Amino acid sequence: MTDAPLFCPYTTVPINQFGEFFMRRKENTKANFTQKRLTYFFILVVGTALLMNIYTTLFTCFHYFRYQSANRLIPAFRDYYQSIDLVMQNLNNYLVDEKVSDYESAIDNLNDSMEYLGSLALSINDSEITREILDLSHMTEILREQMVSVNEAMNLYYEEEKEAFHVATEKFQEVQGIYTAIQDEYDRFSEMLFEYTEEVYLKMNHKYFVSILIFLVIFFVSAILMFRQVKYIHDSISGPVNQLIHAAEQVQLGHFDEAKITLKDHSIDEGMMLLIQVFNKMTDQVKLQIETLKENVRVQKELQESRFKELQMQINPHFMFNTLNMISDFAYLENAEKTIVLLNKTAKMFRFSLDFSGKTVTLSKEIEELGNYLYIQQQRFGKRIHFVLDLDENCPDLKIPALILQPLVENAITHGVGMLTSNAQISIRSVNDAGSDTCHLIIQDNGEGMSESKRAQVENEMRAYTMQNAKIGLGNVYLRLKMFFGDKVSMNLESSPGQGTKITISINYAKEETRCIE
Amino acid sequence: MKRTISYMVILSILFSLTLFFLVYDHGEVFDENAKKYICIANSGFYYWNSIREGIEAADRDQGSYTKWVEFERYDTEEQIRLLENTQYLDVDGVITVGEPYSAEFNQAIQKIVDRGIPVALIDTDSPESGRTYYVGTDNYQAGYLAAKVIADNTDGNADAAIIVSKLTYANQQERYQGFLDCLEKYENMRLVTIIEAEGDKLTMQDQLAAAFEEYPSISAIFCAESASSRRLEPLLENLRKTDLTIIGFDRSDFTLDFIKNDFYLGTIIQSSYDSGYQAVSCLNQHTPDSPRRTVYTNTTCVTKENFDEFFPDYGK
Repeated sequence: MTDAPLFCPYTTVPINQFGEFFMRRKENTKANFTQKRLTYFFILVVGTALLMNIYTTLFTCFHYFRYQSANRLIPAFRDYYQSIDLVMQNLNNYLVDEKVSDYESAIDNLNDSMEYLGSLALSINDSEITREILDLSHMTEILREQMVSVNEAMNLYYEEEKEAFHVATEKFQEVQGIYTAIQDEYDRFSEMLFEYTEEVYLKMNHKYFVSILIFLVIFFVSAILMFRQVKYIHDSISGPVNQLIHAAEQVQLGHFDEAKITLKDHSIDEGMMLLIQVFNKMTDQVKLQIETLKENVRVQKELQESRFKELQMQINPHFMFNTLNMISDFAYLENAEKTIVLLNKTAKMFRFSLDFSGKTVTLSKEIEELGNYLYIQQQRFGKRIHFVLDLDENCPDLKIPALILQPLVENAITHGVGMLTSNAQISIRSVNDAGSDTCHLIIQDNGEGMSESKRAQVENEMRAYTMQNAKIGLGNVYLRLKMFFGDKVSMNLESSPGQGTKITISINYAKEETRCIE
Repeated sequence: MKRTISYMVILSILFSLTLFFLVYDHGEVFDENAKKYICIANSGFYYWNSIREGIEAADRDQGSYTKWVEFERYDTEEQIRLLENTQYLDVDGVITVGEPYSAEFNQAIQKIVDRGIPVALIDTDSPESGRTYYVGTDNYQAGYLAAKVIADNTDGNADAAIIVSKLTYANQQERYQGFLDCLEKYENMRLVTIIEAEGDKLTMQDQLAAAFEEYPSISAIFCAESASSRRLEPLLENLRKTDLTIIGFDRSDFTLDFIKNDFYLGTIIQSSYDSGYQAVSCLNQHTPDSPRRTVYTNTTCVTKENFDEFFPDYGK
């Protein structure tokens, strides 16, 4: 028996399997999950910023600018009114002092006032105020016409037409009438402007409030959406990572069955998916290898145990040999020849069992040594049992584990024909089936046999036999044969009550491959 | 992916549109081709609010623009000045309240009409002024309506009295005529006396006392004038006459309270909203050849039954 390790790598992982993985990954367009979520997130951020910007711009255009221009209305109107006042003063001076420069400055002032009015009219979108401005400019235009006619009359007056001054005074009264009308408008219009400014301000405030609400809504909606995207991304990575950690812990504890990660959905980052699949493969591999290792250790252990037993068994035979030799010497001295022969046969039998226990022998050697045993039994039972040895010469001289046949014959004697007082027969036959390259070794008795249930029980015990079992019987023989030949050997048990028992060992000796155990 | 993005695009477009309409405010656009009118209004009378509403509604419907200017109540001088100011304004028509007893007022109106600008008077007419339109209450119909309401509530049995300010006033005369014409249609109804209060409390008290002495059978009163309608209760209480069927005139807090207290059966209200609306409509339809015209607006009688319909917020 050699100490060669029993490791037998019956599965190997083809390396290109991982290659397939990467190939599949490229084909799978749906898997770029994280990228997609990141795109959504980006769109959300940009979209929200854009919306807020659009809103702010609109708000500024419609309300803030309007409010600013409304704020400029009242000063502009005051300027207008002051210019009109100056017009009146200058015109009055013109009539009193008769200086043309006064008239010119009056016209200048009038132009100023028209300018102020023009600046008022800009960016007004209130029909009441627009109407008022229209009326004011209409009145200012009429004022200008009247001023011109006052000037014309004054020019005539300068040309020595006395009545012309009278006309000029009349025209001036007309101008004063217009001035009164403008004054009448002044209070009303100022009030209107104040109201308008306040209205614009209130409207702006209102819209400002609305806009804050809208901003909040946009903010919350996009925050929720963004949070969802972030959660998706987080889940797609950290979920699998947690699973991996858990699985790795299980592997560490040796719980390989719990380490298997099942992919619940497809919302997982593609890299993580790959990692998980690789991890699953890896776990399977490790699991397989560890199982193999365990099996090997178990076999080694059983082997050691059997060796230990063997050593133990070696002690007794040595003592027995000495004893047997001593007895043999005594028998020789006493001339007990039969005893000498028996002792020699017994000694040979023990030597064989001592030398070859756990080793292999050829079939012929095994049968030769069986002869010693049969002789002794024959002497013991005499005519009660008839041993038949029928050997097929075509059987190849196979190598088999030693001491295979003897326990079977012993079983046949003890359990089979032990109770018979005469005509008991035990046959040991070898039959070669050249067609299937099989050698059959048959041990048959004509003893009491077994019922079917008993037979099944015995056969089950035989197949369930382990090295820990102390019994050396059918199971032991079967196990040793299996360990030696593996699938090439089979052992059948046939029996029926009163008909005896037949044990057939079939060994296929076709040379295909070398066995692991040699 | 594509579907989600298109959803997002559609959503943001919708959102932007909503935003735009929430923020957008185009303001009022002044159409420079619109006809421009000016309304010189009597400030401080509640019904001028309804008139203004009517004018604004007509402006909206017909695309004109009326400027609203107010003068102090009874300040005819200011009213005339404002009317004269219109010559410096760019206006296509003038709306104001008539002032029948002022020659200056008539002159001011005439001056405007002479410039080819139509003038519409509301509430009170000034027939001598040369105004183009008068839009006001159909006084005959008002009197008729009052008589009909009294008849309906007394089953056609009543000795009625009418209180007017002065029967020579055209509007009082018309109300009286309408009232009389309606009463004559009922066999058992008759007008027993006319009380001319002349807008004076004491005169009215004396007249009332005399009337009740002479005709104790009086069971219904139509107070055809708004000032008297406000003063009637204490006078009748002094005379211990509280179970009469009374119809007042015009809307005032007094008359409305009287209706609520069951002292008045009802009051005749003029449709101020309509007169404002009609005034603008007349000016909008005006051509240089249009004849002078009087446009009547209908009156209604408010009683306890339809009170909430007309004044849903009164007293609340």
